[in-house]
Amino acid sequence: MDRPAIQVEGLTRKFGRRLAVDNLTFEVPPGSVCGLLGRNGAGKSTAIRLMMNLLDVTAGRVTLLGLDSRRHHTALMSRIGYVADAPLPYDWMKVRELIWFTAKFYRNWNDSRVDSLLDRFGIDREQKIRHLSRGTQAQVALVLALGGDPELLILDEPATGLDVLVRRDFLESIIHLMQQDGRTVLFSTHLLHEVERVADRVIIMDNGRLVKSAAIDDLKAASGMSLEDTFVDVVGTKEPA
Amino acid sequence: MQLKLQPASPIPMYLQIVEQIRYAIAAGTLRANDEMPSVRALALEHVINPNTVARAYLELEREELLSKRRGAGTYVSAKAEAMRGEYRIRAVRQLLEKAVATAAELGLTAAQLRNLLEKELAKVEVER
Repeated sequence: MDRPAIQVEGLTRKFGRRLAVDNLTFEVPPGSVCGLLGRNGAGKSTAIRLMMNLLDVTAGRVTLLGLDSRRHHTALMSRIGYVADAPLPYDWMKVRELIWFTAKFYRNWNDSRVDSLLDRFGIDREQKIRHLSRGTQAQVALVLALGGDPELLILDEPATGLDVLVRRDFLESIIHLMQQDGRTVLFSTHLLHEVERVADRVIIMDNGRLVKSAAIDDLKAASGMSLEDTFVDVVGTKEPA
Repeated sequence: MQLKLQPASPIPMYLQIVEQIRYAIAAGTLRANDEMPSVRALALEHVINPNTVARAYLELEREELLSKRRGAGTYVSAKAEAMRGEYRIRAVRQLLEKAVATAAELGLTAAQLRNLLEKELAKVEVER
């Protein structure tokens, strides 16, 4: 299992003349939880959407679980859990219906995990998605992403705008998933302390470029600084909370 | 197992765990043949990455403070008890080194420092 779970090589995307993602190259080893950090507008979301093949690349390539993410898009979708930084689709469905609908796309759908997560989050299965609060919708999105028993979980700003307790639930769910060997998680955020708790690696982006990719322990040992100080050091400005 | 972890500290999380388990052994809170919580249990309890706990346990196994028993979990090793005296002295010595260095920086004389130490000792003896 030495093959990286995520391999990004020379990933580039232009919007008009602006380079949103600029020659991004990094690897994430299997079995790790990796935080993708950067200020607002650093290119995190674009990078994730490129990795998920939801956006065409200008240059470069992405290999997920050993497969090219463009050529093997369909095969990969059933092995990857993804929570987008966007409202849930099909918001006219009930929670129960959306789960039933989503389950059809996965080979290894785990009903008991889905049920226990819904219970833990206290989500009413008969509610329509559009009648749920933003926090509850985010929880449903996470349940859907975890339901397929993903080998790789990619979360785009999963915790933004959620209250402290819901965020804690999120992190706990990630830890639960990690109990299974070889599962890999990548999540983008601008909330540093979230990363420090559960992540063992960080990737820091600024202006579309990679500025750091390292194990957090190594980073701390080498610099003697907290992650926050390192972030300020490499990115230059402190992110307003 | 109650750990006080500070994710935002510059000290790597696994080292924080290592130090706190060492301390618990030195203080006698953890004794030889005590069973340690599993990596999974500790990770879930503190909402931290299981890899971090695994790395801490590995480090403590390398120091022979913990030992794995095949198929039966991780235990405080019999040796740990014997090493306890050494760890106690080391822990206090490290603090004393800091105190002496601070005293030197602030220009306290050796006599003043000794005097301070005597006073602190006297306090503890009174409390006891």
